[in-house]
Parts: sequence; C-alpha cells; structure tokens
Amino acid sequence: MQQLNTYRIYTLLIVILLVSIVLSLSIGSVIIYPHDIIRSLLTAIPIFNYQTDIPDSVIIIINQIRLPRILLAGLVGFAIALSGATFQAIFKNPLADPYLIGAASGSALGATIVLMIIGPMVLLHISILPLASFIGGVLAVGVTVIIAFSSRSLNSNTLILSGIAVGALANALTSFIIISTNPDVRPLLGWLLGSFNTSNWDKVLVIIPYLIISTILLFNFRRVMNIIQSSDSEAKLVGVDIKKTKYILIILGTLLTSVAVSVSGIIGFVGLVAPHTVRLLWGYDYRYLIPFSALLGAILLILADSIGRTILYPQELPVGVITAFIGVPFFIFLIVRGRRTFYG
Amino acid sequence: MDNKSVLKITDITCYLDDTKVLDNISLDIKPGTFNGLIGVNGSGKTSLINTINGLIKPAFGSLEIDDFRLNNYSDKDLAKLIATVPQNPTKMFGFSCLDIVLMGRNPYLSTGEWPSNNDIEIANHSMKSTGVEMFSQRTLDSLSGGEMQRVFIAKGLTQGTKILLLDEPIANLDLSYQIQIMDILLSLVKDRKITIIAALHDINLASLYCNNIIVIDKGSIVKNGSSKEIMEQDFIRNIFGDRLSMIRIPIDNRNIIIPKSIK
Repeated sequence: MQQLNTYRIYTLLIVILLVSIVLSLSIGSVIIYPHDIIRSLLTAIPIFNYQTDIPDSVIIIINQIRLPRILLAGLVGFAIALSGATFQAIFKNPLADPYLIGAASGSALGATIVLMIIGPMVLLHISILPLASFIGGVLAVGVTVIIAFSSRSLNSNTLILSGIAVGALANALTSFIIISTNPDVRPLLGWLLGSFNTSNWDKVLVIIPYLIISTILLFNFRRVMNIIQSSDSEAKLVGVDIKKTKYILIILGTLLTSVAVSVSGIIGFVGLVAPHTVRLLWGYDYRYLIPFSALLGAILLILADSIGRTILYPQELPVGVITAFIGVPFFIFLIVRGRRTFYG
Repeated sequence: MDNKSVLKITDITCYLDDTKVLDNISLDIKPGTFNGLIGVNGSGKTSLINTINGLIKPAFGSLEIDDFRLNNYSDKDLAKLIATVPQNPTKMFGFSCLDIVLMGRNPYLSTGEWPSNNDIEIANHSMKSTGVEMFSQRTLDSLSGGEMQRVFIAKGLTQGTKILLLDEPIANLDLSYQIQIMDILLSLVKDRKITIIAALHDINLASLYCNNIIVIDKGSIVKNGSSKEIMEQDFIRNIFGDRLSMIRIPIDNRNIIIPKSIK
C-alpha cells in the first residue's frame, strides 16, 4: 500500500476550494472579474479605508449577495459531508447518509414547526432555528435507531428502511404543517428543496459557532472511528466504550446536519458523494477521510450552487436539484459496484 | 506450584438469551501458564472466554485479576488487563497491518490522541514477536490466513496485558500454520511470561503444548489438569465420543488421540 502524501492532498483541495470560490464570485447576472472581486472585498475591511472607482452595485453584488451565499454553501457542504462520513462510520454502512436515516427530514420538521408556529418572532428564529432543527433531527434519528435496534435482524437494511419510514413521516408532517398554516407555501417549499437564494451574513454567522464546536469534537474521534470499523465487540475489547461513542457521534452528526438544514433546507447526496469520492481516491482512514470529505463537500456545494443559479438564468434551480443530478448517478454507481469493496 | 493466581474465577453462572451457557464455573489460572480450553462445539468455550474479557456479564459469581475483583472496571481499564483474539476478527478493509496492530494501544490513548513513537515501537515489537514485521505496510487482504492470525495476535500483544485470550486461534488453518501459531504462543508464555487461555479444537495439539487443560462440557468444567491427567482414554471417550482411541507416543510417555477405526 502506498503512503498518502497528505500535505499534497490538503493543498490540492484548498486550492480547488479557493478557485471555486473565485469562480463562483465572478459568475451570475453580471460577470465580475477577479481584480474587481478583490477590490470589492477590500472595501469591506474598515482599517484599509480602501477607495475604489468600481460601481456600488458591483460591491453590493460581491460583498452582500454572492460572498455570503458562497460561504454559506461552502459551510453547509462542509457540514453535510462531515455528517455523512460520521454516519457511515457509526453504522459501518456506506449508504448511511444524513438524508437516508431521517436526520435531514427530522431537522426540516423541527425548523418548519418553529418557522410556521413561532414564525413572527423574526429576531428570535434566526438563532433558534438551528436548535429547533437539531431537536427535530435528534428525535428522528433516535426513532430510526430505536426501530432498527428493536428489530431481531439488526443490519444495515433495517436501519435504512426505518430511516426512510421515519423520514417520510417527518416530511408528511412538514407538508401538513406548512399547508395548514400558510396558504402561500412557495417560499417554504423552495426552502425545503434546498436552496441558498435567501442567504445573508446573519445565516453565515449563526451557524459558524455550531460548526466549529461539532467539527472540533468530531476531529477528536477520528482514531476511534477507525477502531469501530472492526466490530462492536472488537472495539470494546480494545477499550472503546462503544455505546457512549456511538451516542456522541450520532449527536454530532445530527447537529451538523440540522445546522445545515436550518439555513439551507434539505440538500441530498452531498453526504454520500463527498466521503465516497474521498474513499475511492485516498482510502479509508478516517484520520484523513474526515477532513478531506469536509473540504470536498464545501467545493461540491459551492460549484453545485453556482451551476444552479446560472444554468437556466434568469431562472434559478434549487441546489438540491443539482446535487440530485450529480448524486443519483453516483448512488447507482455505488450500488452496481457492489458492497464487496466497502469494509471487506 | 505456587498458590498465587493471576486469574481467579469463582462460581460464575452466565445466561445468553435465557439459556444457561456457563454453570457455576470456578477456575484458578496461574501466571505464565499456557491453558488450553477444550470441549465439543457449543460446550461453552467461547462463552467462558467472553465472560473473562467482559463481553458477557455473569449473572452470578466473581472474577479477580491479581486479587482485584473485576466489578466496575471501565472498558479501557479491562483492556489493559486482558487482551482477546476473537474467533473471526474483522478483516478490516483499507488499513495497513501496522494501523490494525496499533489499535491495540487504544486503552492507553485518550480519545483525541494519536499513537506516539513509543506506541509504534511497541506495535513493531509485537509484530516481530509474531513474525509479521515485514507486513507492516500491507493490507490484510494480501495476507494468508495464518499471516492474518499472527497480525491479530500482535494486536492483542500490543495491549500489553498479562493475560491473552484466544478463541480458536488455529481453526481453519493449514497444519504447518497451526504449528507455527502454537509455537509462537508457547514462546510468548516462555519469553514474555504472558498467561494464555486458548480455546482449541485440536485436543492433541492442546495436550502437546499446554501446561494445563480445562475440559468444559455443557457449560461446566468437568476436568482441569495437566495433559497427562486429561489424556485418559475413558475420560476423553466420555466427552468426545467413542470413535476415539489413545496411543502412547515415546515422548514423555504421553498419550495422543487417534481414530479407533485405524488402531
């Protein structure tokens, strides 16, 4: 087995990420070239007191519209990919993404309840939304896991099947709440499909603390994630408190998903595509799988959102539609390729 | 024989899904001994091993290691006292053998901590003891069954425990690999003073290698003694069936089992 040159991979991913950000900043209703992008960004830094002759409209497009949207897409991609890799580690199932085990649907339900029922408290919900989303997500995953674990034949299939059932129920409840409380459901349905068209700096700032905390905690578990790829009893025999570890990881994975869902709605397949691409290219060691997946998730979602907002311009496609177009063929590829390759 | 024991089991009874799998078992294991656990399939060998290592909680009875009762040990603390090579360890995909052996250092590492050079040193030393140091960077799927088993034994050794449990370490291996593994285990007992308890199918190999043999039948210990005491034709036939016969070999006047039909 060849040794990974991990520094080279980190560098490669970060360069691609920066290129994606610049590319995404420049395309849209008007094309803005990199030197103007840099000048617009400089005006946002007060200590520079930078004066420029580029029009205010360009500065607003870059600093207030495109940049927060791109950062939000990147952070959400980062979070979902991390969450996907984590769920795959816990359940030792390559198909366990936050979408398939009910986390995303539950989070959407939690967020919807807050939006529709306590909706008028606008100032409140910007910060309370991730929390409500998290509670919804934890409850949904909890029910999924309880159903799967009370089955006599606990395996990946029971987990995925119960996840689909719980997710469907949560989705139905979400639709019911939306339709029964608000006649004009289009903005919320757009949100549910997954989209960044309501991005702003507030959303970026509100999710950052959640992301930092859960990412740091999760990075601490990378070595243990490798160990739990053996079996529960083998992990216990080398001293891993398997129950506690799984609970913590489920909570962190769900937190990441729900934070993402609270600002962007349900965006499927990133949690599947990013970790698997990393596995195919760079192997199975969670020490690297976790950070590489997160960076790749950020890149994927920034690019997918850029495609979504430009391909049918002036119409905008929700980013969830783009990730499905990319993700479904990938999903089918994984199924056809067979499970032999995964975890022996 | 000195009377200090490294592992003392007193009146252990265990249930698995309402079935009694171990019935009032008591056992004294002396330090630095090679103990063979024999019995027919389903007699309770694996249950006994998994009770000692903490995977199964006994309904009654107590376990003591070096006179300390194993009551409320955390998984980590227990993993510093007892290492186990299970019957079919997971052939983890995509990890090097060194990665896998290093997982044996987990009891000494906190959650966010990576193995130090000292840990890697210990892992390398274990791999040398079982003769797999050259596979350090290879993956398991490129190894033979015997080589894999030696990697898993190295992982157990890396836990740095006094007691090593092995569940059928030589099942499904070619004869030469079986002997190789038994030689390695014997050298661990002699050179590293590790106490080994191994569930074994092959009674002849067990009797040739082990200081002490524990015969378990229907969840109870029916005999516990030296191989000379165990290898009694009537007793062995009683437990393992009357198709067996004994023949004396000119090494220490030992008995070994042969099929009655070809005697």
